[in-house]
Amino acid sequence: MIHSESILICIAVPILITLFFTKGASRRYALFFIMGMGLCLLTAYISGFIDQLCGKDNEWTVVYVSPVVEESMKMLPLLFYMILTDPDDSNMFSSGVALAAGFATFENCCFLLASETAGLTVILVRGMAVGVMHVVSIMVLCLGLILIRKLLPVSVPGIVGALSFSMTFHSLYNLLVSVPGISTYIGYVLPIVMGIFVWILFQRMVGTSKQDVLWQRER
Amino acid sequence: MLLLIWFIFRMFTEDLGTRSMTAVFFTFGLAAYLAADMYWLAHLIVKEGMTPDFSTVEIGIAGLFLLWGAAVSAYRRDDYHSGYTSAYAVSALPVALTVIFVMAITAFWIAWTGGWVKDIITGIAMGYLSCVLSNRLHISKMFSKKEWILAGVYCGFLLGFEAGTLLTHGVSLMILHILRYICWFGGSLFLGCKIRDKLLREKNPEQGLYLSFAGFVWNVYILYLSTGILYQIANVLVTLSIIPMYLTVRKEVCR
Repeated sequence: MIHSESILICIAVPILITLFFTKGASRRYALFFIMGMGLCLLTAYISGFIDQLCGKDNEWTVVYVSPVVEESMKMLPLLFYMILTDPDDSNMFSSGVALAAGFATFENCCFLLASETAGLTVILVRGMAVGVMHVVSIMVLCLGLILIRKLLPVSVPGIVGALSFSMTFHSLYNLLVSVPGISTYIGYVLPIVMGIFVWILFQRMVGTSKQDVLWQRER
Repeated sequence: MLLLIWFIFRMFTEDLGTRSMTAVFFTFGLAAYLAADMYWLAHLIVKEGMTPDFSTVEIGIAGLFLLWGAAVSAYRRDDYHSGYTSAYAVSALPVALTVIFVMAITAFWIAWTGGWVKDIITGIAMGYLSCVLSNRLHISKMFSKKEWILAGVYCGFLLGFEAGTLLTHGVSLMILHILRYICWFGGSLFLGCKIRDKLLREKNPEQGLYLSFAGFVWNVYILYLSTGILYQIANVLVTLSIIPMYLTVRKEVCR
C-alpha cells in the first residue's frame, strides 16, 4: 500500500534539493510549493482528527470541516510571510500561487491513491477544477491581505473577512462536487468562472498606471 | 441573489478601476453575501431540504459584516475636512452602548434558537459593524445630542420588550410581540426616511452612506428576530437596503 507520506517525500525531496541551487523568485516559488504540499498533509490529519472527534462520516467532514481547516491553514504561512518579511505585492501573489499549486498537487495525488480506477477524463477534470479552485481562493485571500495591510486599524476584521470569503467559496465547491449529478459539473465549472473573474480583477488592479494607489507602498 | 450579482457586476466593471478601498471592500462583501446565499441554496437542493448546522453560511455572513465594517472604516480615513478631527477617533459612549445592545440581541438569539456558536460568531461580526457605524455616525455629527438620547431610550425599550417575550406568555406575550415589531419596523421606517432625506434632499452622501449601512444592519436585526410573514418582509427590507448602500458607495467613493 502506498502511503501519502511516501508520495510527499518522493515529490518534495528533489524540489528541496533545488533550493540549494536556485535563488530569488525561483527559490521562493519552490519553497512555497513544498510548503503547500506539507500543508495539504497536515490539513488531512486535522480534518481526520475532527472527523474522529465528532463521529461523523467522511462526506460530512469533506463538506463542512475541510474547507474551513484548509483555508485557515493556507492563510497562516502567507500571513507570517507578510508580517515577517513585508514583501512586495507581486511576491505575495506569486508565493500564494505556489502554495496553492503545491496544495492542489498533493491533493490530486491523494485522490489518485484513493480512487485507482478513475478514468483519464475524470482525473483531468478534477485536476483542473481543484487546481483552479485552490489558486482562486488563495488569490482572493492574497488580495485581501495586500489591501488590508495598508489599513492597519481594520487588519484583523479585514483578514478574517477575506478568509471567510475564501472558506465560503471552497465550501460551495466541495458541496457541489460531493453529490454525483449535475451539481458536480456546476462545481467543476465554478472555479473556472471565478478564476476568470479574479484574473480580470487582477489585470485591472495591477494596470499600467504609475498612479495606481493600491499598489503604492505606504512607508 | 440577482440583485447582488448585478451590483457586483457593476462595481466590478465600473468602480474598482477608481482604486477606492471602500469600494473594493464593499464589493468583496457583496461577493461574500452572494457566496453564502449560493451555498444555502445549493445545500437545500443538493441535500434535499436539510438545513446545514453551523456552517459556511454563518461564516460567509460573518465575513460580510467584517468586510463592510472594513469598508466603512476605510472611508475617508485621511479626510480631515468632514468636521471631525480624525477618522481614527473613537466615541466611547456610543460604541459602549452599541456593544451592550449587540450583546443583548445576541443573548436573545441564543435564547431563541439554542445555537451558541453560530449566534456568538454572527453577533461578534455584527457587533463590529454596528460599532464602526455608531462611531462614524457620532463623529460625523449625524444626530443631535437629544436625538442620540432618544435613540438610546428607544433601543432600551426595544430590549425590554424582547426580554419580556422570553418571560411572559398568553396575552402579555402577544402585546409584547406587537410592541417589539412596531419598534423594529418603526426604526426601519425612520432610517429609510433619513436615508432618503440625506440622499435626495440634503445631498449629503457621506452621512447617507453611514445611514444606508446602518439601515441594512437594523433590518438584519429584524430578520434574525422575526418569524413567519414578518421574516419574509424583513428579508425584502434587507434586500432593498442594499440598494442605497450601493448607490452611496458608488456616488461618494467612486467620483
